[in-house]
Amino acid sequence: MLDLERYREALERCSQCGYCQASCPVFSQELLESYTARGRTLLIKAALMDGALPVGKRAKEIVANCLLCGTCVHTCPGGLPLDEIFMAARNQLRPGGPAASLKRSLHRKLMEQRGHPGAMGKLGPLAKTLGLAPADLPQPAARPFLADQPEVLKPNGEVRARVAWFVGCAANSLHLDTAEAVRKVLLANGVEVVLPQGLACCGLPALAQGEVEMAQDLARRNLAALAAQEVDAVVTECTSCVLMLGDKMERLFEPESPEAQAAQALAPRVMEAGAFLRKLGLSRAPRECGVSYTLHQPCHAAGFVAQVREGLSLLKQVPGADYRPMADPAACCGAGGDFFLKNSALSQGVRRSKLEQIEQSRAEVVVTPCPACRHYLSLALGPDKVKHPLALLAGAYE
Amino acid sequence: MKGLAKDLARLVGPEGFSTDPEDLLVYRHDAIAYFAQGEPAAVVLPQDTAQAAKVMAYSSRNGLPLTPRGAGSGLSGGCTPVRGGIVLDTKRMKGILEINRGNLTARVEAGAVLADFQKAVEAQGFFYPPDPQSKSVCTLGGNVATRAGGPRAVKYGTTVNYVLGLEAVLPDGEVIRTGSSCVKHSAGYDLTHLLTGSEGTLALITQATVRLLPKPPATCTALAVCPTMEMAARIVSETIAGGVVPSMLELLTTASLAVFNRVVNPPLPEEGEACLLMEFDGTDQEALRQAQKMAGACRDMGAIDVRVVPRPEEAAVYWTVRSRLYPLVVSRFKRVVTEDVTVPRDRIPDFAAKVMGIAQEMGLSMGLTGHAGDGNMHPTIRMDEVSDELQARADQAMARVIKAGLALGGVISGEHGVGLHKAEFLELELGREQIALMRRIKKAFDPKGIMNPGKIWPPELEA
Repeated sequence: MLDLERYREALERCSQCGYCQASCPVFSQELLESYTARGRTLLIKAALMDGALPVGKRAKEIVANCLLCGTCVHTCPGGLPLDEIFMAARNQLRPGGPAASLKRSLHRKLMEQRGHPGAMGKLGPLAKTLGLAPADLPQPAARPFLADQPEVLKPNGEVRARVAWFVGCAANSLHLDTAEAVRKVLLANGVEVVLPQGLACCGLPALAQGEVEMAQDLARRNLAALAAQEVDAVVTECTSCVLMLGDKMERLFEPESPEAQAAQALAPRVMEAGAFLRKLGLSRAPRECGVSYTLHQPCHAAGFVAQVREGLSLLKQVPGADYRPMADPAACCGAGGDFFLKNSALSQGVRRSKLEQIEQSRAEVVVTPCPACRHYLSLALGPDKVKHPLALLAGAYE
Repeated sequence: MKGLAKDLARLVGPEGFSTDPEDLLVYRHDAIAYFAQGEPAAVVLPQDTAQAAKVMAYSSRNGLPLTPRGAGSGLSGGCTPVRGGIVLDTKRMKGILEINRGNLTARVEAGAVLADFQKAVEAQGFFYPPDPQSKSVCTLGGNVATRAGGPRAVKYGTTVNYVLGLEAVLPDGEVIRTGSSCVKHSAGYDLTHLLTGSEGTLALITQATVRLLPKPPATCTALAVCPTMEMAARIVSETIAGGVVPSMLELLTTASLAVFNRVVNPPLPEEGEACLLMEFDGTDQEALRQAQKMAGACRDMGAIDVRVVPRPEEAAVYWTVRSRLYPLVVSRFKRVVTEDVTVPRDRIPDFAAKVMGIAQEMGLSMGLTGHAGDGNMHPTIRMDEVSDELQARADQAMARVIKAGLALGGVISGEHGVGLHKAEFLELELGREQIALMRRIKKAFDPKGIMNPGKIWPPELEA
């Protein structure tokens, strides 16, 4: 649903303490009260709910000028669902008209057809032309990872566990090295991997644009594809997919609705791939791998930091791999999905302090499970400097 | 005002201000919703003192009210633009200009965030104790302007005890530098400490030179759950009398125990009326010994549960919960009215009894928390609904609480400042003569009356 009215009570509970200033990456750059969660919620209530202020260009700008990182949710002493309020506000502010509707249907196609070999190859460039996809995004692979995979990947030898793998869109079409690495480490450790048919994008990018209906449709497809799987866990290598499947999906629907119930049943089975492996334990010992690395913790991991940390602690089992912590692994990198494309100066400001931390860590490689963080950091650091954590582990299996 | 946006663009550039209603909306208030009583014509965010001075001179020339603002985390309505005009947001002046190791002083700009400054200082082995609970966001300038303090006041005092010198802009745009970076200074009137706590009514504070201390090597936290408020209050006054000086000594209601229990293990018994959260500092051994001694004393006096938490990471969990309690409580109720009456510490038991009596007589849900170690109490009325009748009753109860505090030799505000919230009570504490003198001082600094009008004293005393 994500209707603003649903959040009226939460909005009225804001104590206005302003503690949200401490963690907002956008505020840290602009230092303007309007860019705090406190400011945004006051404006959303006045302009979008109470009609106390006309909805003008500036109101739209303020609502759009948010990374949706959700850090404020975790800083808020009252624990208000601020990220959902901002998504609901975007939903209310979605543009109308034929151009927007054309973009919307293309967007929808891309997200639904993501596993289709032709889809990315043809729709991808079109999306770029229409400004729907980052212009400096690498060309999507002509053949997505999933196009050449069987429905079930069987390990050699003993099967220790069986999982359904939700391959994120980025691993499927952009960062195929991540997908290869995940496949390799799962199989090497005796995990039988089901690649369910009919999966679509997890829906988080749609939700970030306020496209609630689209996110709901995608969620329905994914629920249908995943519900029937008899597996120990649903794993995914992408932090944002974990957030969507394991947390947000349920709240897209009316409480108690069949979809909400299905999402609720799915949520506890969703695990970050690295965390799953850590829990299972490695059956194949990694080889010596002399590399120093630091972790960038994606903002979407804030609700399940323990999982990300567990995934990372796998790397401590790689002999010779040297972890060099940065000052604040959880500080934002500035990407925010595709936020950095529309707000490049602001994002670069946020990234600058992250890059300083990375440099001070003196690590050779940055590992991060989020493809958006990886993309945006590698634009500054170079493509080989940023990897998925499991790619580092996979390297130790060569 | 006509041409305001054009004029401001000339003074601070197009990025340095806003006159958009969407931005102005959020500059109406501080951390308490019901103090939003006026809307500014513009918000201006100067980059430095020179820009700020231009804006002040402009305001002065045009008779525009000017309200300085830090993080807007205050609880007294101090930074709310009740007469419109310009809100001058200092947050972009946030430099930590100097940490002088040899002199144990630091120089910071007004908009620097307290926690950032403390982190920078502590990284060099120093200590800047003042700790209002909004420290993750509040600014040094706001701290100085309100004489802010927090739990550490019991041992280390508040902001006022650390300010050595200030840079400030007078309403006509003239920049003055008061005080010095010397430990001792006895020349002339002490304008530094006149501006400290002046709540933006005399000048705009743009920089502060503050004293630093060496960082204590260790701390140890302790917590005691008490069956009655009266017992907790008695433990506090006897501790002080016994010559033990904790670095923090907080009195909390039992309701806060449930909040602690979400994150601490083993859980605390959620019984009794009050709990005391304490910290001791010094060497490892000193801190631990004092905490254990205190814990023993609490047990002897009949506390239900006492624990000592020596590990810093574990102790930090307790103190983080402590700093978030107030906003959390506010988010649970329709309206919360809080006070910061401060009484001499030997009168805390009497004050606690009075507050509880008033709450009962007036049929209100009232909690009593506070930085008990320094006598700074926060009686808090919690309302499940808002009505004129209930608000009137709450106002009446708070007036009685304030008068009870004054009758015990207390003051109307220990750390929040007067702002809008307590303007009507200032005369009760200070008397007409002192207010008349303060009014003359105000006239000398701000003859046109542009600086933060409507604050500290009620309108009828303003003329």
